[in-house]
Amino acid sequence: MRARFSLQSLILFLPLGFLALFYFYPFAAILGFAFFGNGALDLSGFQAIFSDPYYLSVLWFTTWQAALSTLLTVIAALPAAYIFARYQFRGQTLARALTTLPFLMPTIVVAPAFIALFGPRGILNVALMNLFDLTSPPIQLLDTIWIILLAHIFYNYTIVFRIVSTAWANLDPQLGNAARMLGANRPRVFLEITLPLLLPAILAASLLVFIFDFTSFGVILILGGARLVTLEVEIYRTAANLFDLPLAAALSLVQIFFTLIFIFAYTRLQARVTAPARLRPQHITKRALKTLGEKIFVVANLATMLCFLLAPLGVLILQSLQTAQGFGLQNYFALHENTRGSATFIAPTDAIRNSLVFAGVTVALAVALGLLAAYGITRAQKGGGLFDALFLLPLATSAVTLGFGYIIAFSRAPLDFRAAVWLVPIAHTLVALPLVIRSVVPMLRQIRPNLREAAATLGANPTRVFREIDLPIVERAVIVGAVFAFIISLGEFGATTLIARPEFTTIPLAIYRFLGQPGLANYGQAMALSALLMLVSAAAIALMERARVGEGAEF
Amino acid sequence: MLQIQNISKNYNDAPLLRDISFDVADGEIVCLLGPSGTGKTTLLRIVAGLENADAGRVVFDGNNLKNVPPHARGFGLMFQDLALFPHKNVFENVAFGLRMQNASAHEIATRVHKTLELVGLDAAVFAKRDVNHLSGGEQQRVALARTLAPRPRFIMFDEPLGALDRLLRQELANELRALLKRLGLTALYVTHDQDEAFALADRLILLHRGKIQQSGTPLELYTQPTSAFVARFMGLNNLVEIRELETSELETGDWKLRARTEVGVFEIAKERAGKENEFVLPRPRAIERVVEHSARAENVLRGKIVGTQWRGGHQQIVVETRAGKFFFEWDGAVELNRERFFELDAREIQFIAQGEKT
Amino acid sequence: MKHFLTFFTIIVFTALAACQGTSLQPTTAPGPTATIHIIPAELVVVTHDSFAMSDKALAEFQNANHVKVEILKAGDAGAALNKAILAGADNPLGDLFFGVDNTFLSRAEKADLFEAYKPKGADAIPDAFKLDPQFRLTPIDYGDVCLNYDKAWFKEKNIAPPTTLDDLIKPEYKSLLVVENPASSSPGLAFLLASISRFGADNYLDFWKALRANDVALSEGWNDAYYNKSTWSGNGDRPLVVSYATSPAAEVFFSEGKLTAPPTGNVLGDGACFRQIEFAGIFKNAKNPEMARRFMDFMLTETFQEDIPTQMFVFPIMPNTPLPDFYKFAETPKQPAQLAAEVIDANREKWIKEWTQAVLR
Repeated sequence: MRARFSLQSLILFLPLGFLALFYFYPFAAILGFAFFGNGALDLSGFQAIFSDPYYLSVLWFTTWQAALSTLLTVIAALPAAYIFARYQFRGQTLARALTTLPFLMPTIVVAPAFIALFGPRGILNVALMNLFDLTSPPIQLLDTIWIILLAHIFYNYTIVFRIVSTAWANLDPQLGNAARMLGANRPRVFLEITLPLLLPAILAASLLVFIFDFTSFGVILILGGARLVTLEVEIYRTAANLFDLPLAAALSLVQIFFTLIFIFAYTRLQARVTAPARLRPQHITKRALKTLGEKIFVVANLATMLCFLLAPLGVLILQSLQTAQGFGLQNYFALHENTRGSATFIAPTDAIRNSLVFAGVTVALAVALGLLAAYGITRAQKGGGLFDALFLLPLATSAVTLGFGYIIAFSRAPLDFRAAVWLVPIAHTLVALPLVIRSVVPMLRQIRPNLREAAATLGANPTRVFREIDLPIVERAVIVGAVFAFIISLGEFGATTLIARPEFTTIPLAIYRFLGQPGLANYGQAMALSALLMLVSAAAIALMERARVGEGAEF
Repeated sequence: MLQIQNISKNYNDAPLLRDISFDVADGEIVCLLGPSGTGKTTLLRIVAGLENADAGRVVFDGNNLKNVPPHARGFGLMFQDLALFPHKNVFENVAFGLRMQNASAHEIATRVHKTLELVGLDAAVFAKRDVNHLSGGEQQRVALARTLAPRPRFIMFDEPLGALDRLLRQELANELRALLKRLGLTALYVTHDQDEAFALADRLILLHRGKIQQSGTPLELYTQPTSAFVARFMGLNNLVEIRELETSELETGDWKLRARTEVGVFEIAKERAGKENEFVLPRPRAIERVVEHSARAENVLRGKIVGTQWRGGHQQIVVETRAGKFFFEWDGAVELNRERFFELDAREIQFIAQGEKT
Repeated sequence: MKHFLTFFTIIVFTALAACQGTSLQPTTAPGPTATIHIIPAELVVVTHDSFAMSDKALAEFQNANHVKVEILKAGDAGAALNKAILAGADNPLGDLFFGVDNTFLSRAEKADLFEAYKPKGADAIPDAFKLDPQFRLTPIDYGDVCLNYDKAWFKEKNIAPPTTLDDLIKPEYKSLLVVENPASSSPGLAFLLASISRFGADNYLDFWKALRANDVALSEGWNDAYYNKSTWSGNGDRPLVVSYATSPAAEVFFSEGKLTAPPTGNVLGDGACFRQIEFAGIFKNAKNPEMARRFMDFMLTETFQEDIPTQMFVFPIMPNTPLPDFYKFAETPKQPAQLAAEVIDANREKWIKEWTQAVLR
């Protein structure tokens, strides 16, 4: 027992150390500054929060919009998760890769695309106006909750889709058949067999989506039209613009407190619903499309899904091709021209290279630390849930609060990291880590221990057992986590803008810079760079998915 | 030679194994037999090094294995649910142990091929097959091949045939014994099924409640069970509790034991009794005569035949008495539901201890 | 398995290669060792995201002073200053800070981050810009936040564009204006200050309530207002946007020669624009104060000042600096709105809260 405990603490040491140094330390620093800045304890922030009903309304809005967004995202993504889990068809890998694109697009470019689609002069309204001969746009979504819900579904669709379809693909269809033989009809089978078995996966995905929606920032900021405010936006305004750090820190703590409640509720719930499901290899659970009905079902679903997810991105590409002379590639060629001879100009190829390198380092770090953490969590006899929750905390913490924490914590010797380039992938890893852990832990829990024991009795030492048994079996989950880490790093903007050095500009930063200046060329080049970000990401994701498909026996 | 010395193990603060000791000689097949939940599997796992005993030692060829991790013991273990690697095909599963020994590719290929043929699988057909697509029996054979391929110096089986139907189980058990003997392997085999154990074992060890109840050849256990528990486990269910026991010397100088029970008095020669005599066990072939009236005062049962069954070339009759049902082989004429006297051969009656309560 | 390992290895190697590449970046360039004063060979300029200077100007300064200039961008203007304040005066983020504007001047002065230094040539700066007589902060450039209007739209609708703030609440300008949230946007704050200057601290909210009644649209930031809500972007339905006086000129500059005249014009009536003046200062406890002073001097030379219009689209602070050709479209208001820096600083948060209460809730 003792030996195992020390091994376990050793495994958890690295990821926990990472978390302590790059999350808790700066976070404690900013809290200290906020509450003890003047030497004495200052809780005026909390007083302000609890005396003003406004903050209560912000909290309420934050919560219900997140809950509603999550519910709608789950409902929207379930059909596709089913299709990808149960059927085999051509273009599956490509379609899966495409669904990931929205997740990584910075809000700053998605917002214009949404406006070009749903705005007062958007494609949808213009078409409806022409069709029914209307004088004013019939769809008024901007600055309403509707466009926020749409954007949240658009962004988080892939989380639910990927996590649930992976779990579904491993579910033994025999169970459903058994239930049908016992007299259950299809809906009953879904409600009583499939859904309960999928529940851990659905809950895991929902939790992530909920946290993303609860701490939603860019979508609310740009599409919410200043009047719809989440806690995260309020924290940002308070910290960055009013510079009222005690209030911002108090709000951050409120946000973390509520997120922790959700995480805690979730872990309790999960402990109850996790049944040791027997994994089945994919080629047993999957089959080709047979009947016409199946084909129509799949095609209709895929079409809806891709249309919704890709239309905004298509609009974006369209706009990147729009130039003063009509359609053309000028915006792309112009990316290389340092028209103003600016010293801080970064060629987009460099920005792409920087982004890819940061993303690569992030993936390596997040996968290495995530695997260790996942092991520690699954091996821990007690407190596994606590560690699980700990690693989710960075997702729940306001980026701007943490960003200020970094300044205080890491600008003095011996931890003077101000000019350190590697802070960028570190910050990205902090965000990506929980996603890697969340996708690996359930798979690790489902590896039957006797597989490891069988390997041991056949002469495999513990390292060898890990390489031969654990790694190949969790590989798919690791790749899902790696894809998330990769795209989070590629699209990350908030934290990067605070810590990146100008010579190591990333793609989103470059896009932001273009959009910071007036003129058709700037807008076009921003769109061109966004299109490039999409292409690069799509290529990288497709590569990762291929790495998996190349494997002979999948599990 | 494997020596199990004074192994004890607690599970959830309750003793699971209590001071277990036995040896397995080179080339011997020993079966650990017992109802489920008696710690058989745990004992196997302790020998494999997958679990640690609270006390006692596992010694192999004179070396204490205490600090030898499972992968360095050179033992083979075939798991109850086989634990085939689902992400590897048949060839890769069987090759696994050889790869761990850093065997050359050529050697691996030859050996995997040979081993597959050995367990009765056509290597050309099966090597590339997906283990998840095999039938139960085929999976069993692959698992066996995987265990055998690295030539373990000692091999263990944890109810490997449990999931199969009776006929296949019997067939595979016979085949397995032949194979183990042909390869001259030393083996420890865990099962709860006595037919399987009889088919396989050179020696049986009957385990119950963390203790060894009896050990010996299958014949010894069947013919000379030392306790009611062992007898019942061997399928000998004609047990009746002794109320009063007396010893008397005959004129011939032989000693006799007389036992008074609910269904009459039984008298046997003293050498047929055990150390403790708590139960009378009339063996299945004990009936000498079935009569309407008997003059005998002892070794006679009164009851009626309530059923017959054809079993293994004999007719089995079910006799209902005041003390419950008795089962005998009896090839004579049968009249159902008539009160009769069943005269028993004293040489087919044993007095035994109670042993563990079941 | 094999594929995964390959993939993993590639990533790790890319990462290692990248780290190696970056560590080769000269963080400390070899300086002249024979000089009597050993001057650290690096100057760290802390600034905001919008800072830009030309290669030519940068090279000129670096070569003349044998120094490597490191430009550390720390987020938008507000965030950059906040970071500098958080780091504290004892342990500054760098040697020099560029980009405090007049709305944040008092906050910067209160934090006592900067040492007084009057750069060479500072006497020539017009007095109206010298808001800090001690020269802890020296003005470098200025620009006006004005309303941009869509020329084509107003022409087509045959409506005259507004000329003053008072016009905006008239019914004919209903549903035409988009403004940025002063809590999160620098031009938004400037426009709010212009309205306070025009209507007074006691009555400006009435103007905003009237604007709200007149269906003013709100954006969180400039780029959303300008690119997503303006009519000339093709995406929105608002022909009046709070932007910069130089934006029309920039439209011409960034049209790659396609436009000979800007599609937008400025509303330049008295008090309708708010002037932003940008300052730079030397951090107390700078590692390289001598070089920082030289850079302050340099920022007032024609080389740097000439660069400002094309690099940052604002006006150089030094009079008589030659302007690029397209600046003929960059109009300046005769009478921008006025508010003292101390007044702004004393009331900024109060006004923003009041505004938020009146306009957002």
